[in-house]
Parts: sequence; C-alpha cells; structure tokens
Amino acid sequence: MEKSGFKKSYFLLILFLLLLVLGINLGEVEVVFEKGITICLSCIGIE
Amino acid sequence: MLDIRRWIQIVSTVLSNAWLLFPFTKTIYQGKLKSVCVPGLNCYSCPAAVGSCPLGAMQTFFANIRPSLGTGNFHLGLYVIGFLGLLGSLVGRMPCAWLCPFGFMQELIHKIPSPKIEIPQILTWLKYVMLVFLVILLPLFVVDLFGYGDNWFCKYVCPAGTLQAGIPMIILQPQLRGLLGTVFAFKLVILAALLVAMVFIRRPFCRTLCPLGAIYSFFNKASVFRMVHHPDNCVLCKQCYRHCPMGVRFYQGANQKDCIRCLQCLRKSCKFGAISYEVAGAVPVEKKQPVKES
Amino acid sequence: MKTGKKIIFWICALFLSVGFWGTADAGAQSNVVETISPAGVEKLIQSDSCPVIISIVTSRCRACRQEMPVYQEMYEQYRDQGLKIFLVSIDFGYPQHIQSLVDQMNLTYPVFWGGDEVMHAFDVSLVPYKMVVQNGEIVETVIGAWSEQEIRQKIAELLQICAQ
Repeated sequence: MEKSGFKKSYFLLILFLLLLVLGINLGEVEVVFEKGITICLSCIGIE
Repeated sequence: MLDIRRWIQIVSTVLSNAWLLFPFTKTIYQGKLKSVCVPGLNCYSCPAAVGSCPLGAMQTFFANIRPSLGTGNFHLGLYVIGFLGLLGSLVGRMPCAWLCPFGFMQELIHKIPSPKIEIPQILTWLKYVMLVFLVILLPLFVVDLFGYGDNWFCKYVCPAGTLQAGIPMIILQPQLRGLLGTVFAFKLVILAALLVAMVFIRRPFCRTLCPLGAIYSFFNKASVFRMVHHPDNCVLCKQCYRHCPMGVRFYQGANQKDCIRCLQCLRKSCKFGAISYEVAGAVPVEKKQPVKES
Repeated sequence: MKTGKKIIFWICALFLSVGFWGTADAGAQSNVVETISPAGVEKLIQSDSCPVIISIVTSRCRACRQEMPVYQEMYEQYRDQGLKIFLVSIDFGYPQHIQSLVDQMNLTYPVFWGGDEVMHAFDVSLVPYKMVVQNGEIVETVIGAWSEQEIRQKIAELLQICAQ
C-alpha cells in the first residue's frame, strides 16, 4: 500500500477538526445541551 | 472469557446510559455532559442517557437553521458534523462495532438460536436514502410558517428512540399515555419488526436503516485506520463472511461500506493471513504471519 | 483530495440552498418579550386572578407553537372574565427566537423569556408544560400538548369554576 493514500485521511482529519472548532466557537455546544435536556415530545413521536 | 470487544461494548453502553436515578427523578438526566455527543446511536431523550445523540442533534440543527439564521445565530451543526467527521476520518465505521449500544443489542439478540437468513444486497443502500431524506433534506426544507422543520428520522423512524425514550417515558410519566397517536404506533411497529428481524438477520438495522452508520461508512476507504486484504494469501474459504456480524464479504475487498472494523474476521476467522489492518500506512506488530501452503 | 473537496462542496451547497429558502417576514414588534427570573414566575403564579394558565415552551417545539395562536384567541375572548395567559419560553441563551415567534403570530398576551434558570427551578424536562392556577394556587400541571379543542374545553371549564 502506497503511503500517499493517507494524505486524504490527514486532510479530512484537519478539515473536520476545523469544522468542530468552528462549531464550538459559534456556540453550538449550548444548542446541543438545550436539545439534550428538554425533551420535545413531538420530536420523539408523541404528540 | 468474554471477548475484549464485548467488554468495550458493555462499558460503552453503560457509560452512555449511566444515569441510574431516573426511577426516582422520573425524568431525564439534565447535567452538563448532555452537551457532548456520544459516538453511537443512543437516544438523548432516554431517561438514563448522559450524552447526546449525534444524529438527533444534527437533525435539530438542520430543522432550526432558518430561525437561527434569522436571529443572527450561525448554528449550522458544524459541531456535530465536525465530531462525526473527525471520528470517521480516524477509524471509519469502527464505532458501530465497538461503541454503539444499539449495535450491541442487535448482536446479542442475534445469538438466539434460529435459522439465519441473508438480506438482498440492495437493501443496504436504503440507509443512504434515510440519511439524505430523513436526516438532511426533509428537516431542512419541509418547514412551517415560522421556518421550523421537524426531526424526521427521530420522529417517524428511530427504533432506538422508541425503545430508549418513548417506552420508558410513557412508563415513568403516565400523563403521556393520553397523547399517543398513530405516529407512535407506527414507530412501535418498526421497532417490533426490527426486534424480530434481529433474531434471523445479522444487524438488520445497521445494514439497512442506520443513517449514522451511513455517515461513518463514507470514511471507510479514507480513514487513518484501514483494513487490508492480501489476495495472494486468500483461499476464498469465506470463513470471514460466515462470522461477519454485518454479512460483509471481506474476500471481495477491504474497507467496504458495511465493514465495521470489528476485527472478528482477522482475529477469529482467517487462518491464512489474508486479513490485516494498518494505521496511517504502518502495519501494526500483531499482524499474523501467513500460513504457507505448498 | 477528491473526496474532501466533494464533501466541502456538498456542505456549502446545502447551506447556500437553505439561505434562499426565506422565512416569513416578521411583523411589527409591539409585544416585547421580557426576561423573567424563577422568582418572577412565582409572582405570576401568585397573582390573584382566576383562571391563570402559565405555559412553559421552547420555540423549536412544534406542539408549543401550535398552542400559541389558540391562546391568543382565548385571551381576546375571555380576558374580561379574568382569564390570564402567560407564556414563558425556556429557550437557552437568548430571547430572539421567541420574540420572532411573538412578532410573526401577533401575540398580545404577556410573553416572557426565562431561559434555563426557570427550566431548572421548575424542573421542566418535557415541553409543552403547563401550570393551571386558580387564585394563587397551582391546581394542575400538564405535560404534553393540548389540541385546540382541549384548550377551549379546559378554559370554558375553568371559567365556570372561577365564576362560582
């Protein structure tokens, strides 16, 4: 297996790491938290 | 002695659902850990869950994207996309085999003795339909007057949600019983059908319906951790296929979309050294020596 | 590299396409959502009106959004008979989401934003969550949505009880 096949992996790794950091900086952690601790009944099929 | 993978599955299942006070509080865990997603499919409306479901969180971001943008908040779901992409580019679909509680349950139920059947290959593409429509497009584009969408997959399909959140919440909060309607009945049917299917079919949900597995599967060919097939050593005995929890024909090539890197084939099946793995191109030490047959 | 570029392309395309799919225009901002503390909610409960309905909601819950305009109708019809309706949003972080809904629905009854403090103080984990109050006392807490018909029925019943 040629080593160059893994350039792609490192590229993806860095790309998604950047997205993750960007998301955290945009305040998305709190959105996940909010969704996680208040059950929206219509979201689990109970209405 | 229990297999190492089983231990990790058990630990992961317990850690994902570690809030055991719910029979007393009658409701879900509301601590800070809920702001972090777990790698597997584990409903965060489950009374015992301590982390969030990446798939549910993703749908929420997509469904609320317009109101968020409208109020100047750029919440696009990058946190979740980044998290899943990061895991995927490291190990591909490995979380399915080692960490996902719902996958673990399917393997356990499959142990019930019965005639086992195989599903047509074409059904394995259904999970991509689920991903594209129920997780991405419908939550993004089917919106009400105020710009809010729905969590389509959670609401209409997710059997993990029905099992972990719907049923327990109804038991804990009898008030909710009056609210059950056709949607919930439909979800119960899906869950029941899958539970029966699990006895006869290997991991039916993972292979045909799971959008989370579909996301991870994109990374199988491009992840840092990869499986390797050595065709020169392969004698096409198909033992790898027989023992594969996902019904993957490894002898047809490594890193197929349904390979969950459980390493069962490497550790249990292949006696000819035709299967190994590599991490960033480096072959790890425990690689089996091929058995030379003359 | 090809896979990466493809993924970036699709993610960008997705978000761009959403941008063109506009939202409804906000109406004039006449009813300003006020921030409320848990103590403030207690005060609402203790108001000596009868009946009072305090509805705790989040903006992203469909059932909650469906109840809001029905309350408006009820409020217009029965406020002279003593009916009070308070909406308390427990959206995290900021009141913009609920404000935007209030503007779009032209709600005129009092709407507050309590955030997670109110959520924790009143132990709300499922929305919609309602408290029915009579003369300063909570007589019923309701988890889950009411249909339009149920709201009408309930309020008619409550008005009758309060009239006695």
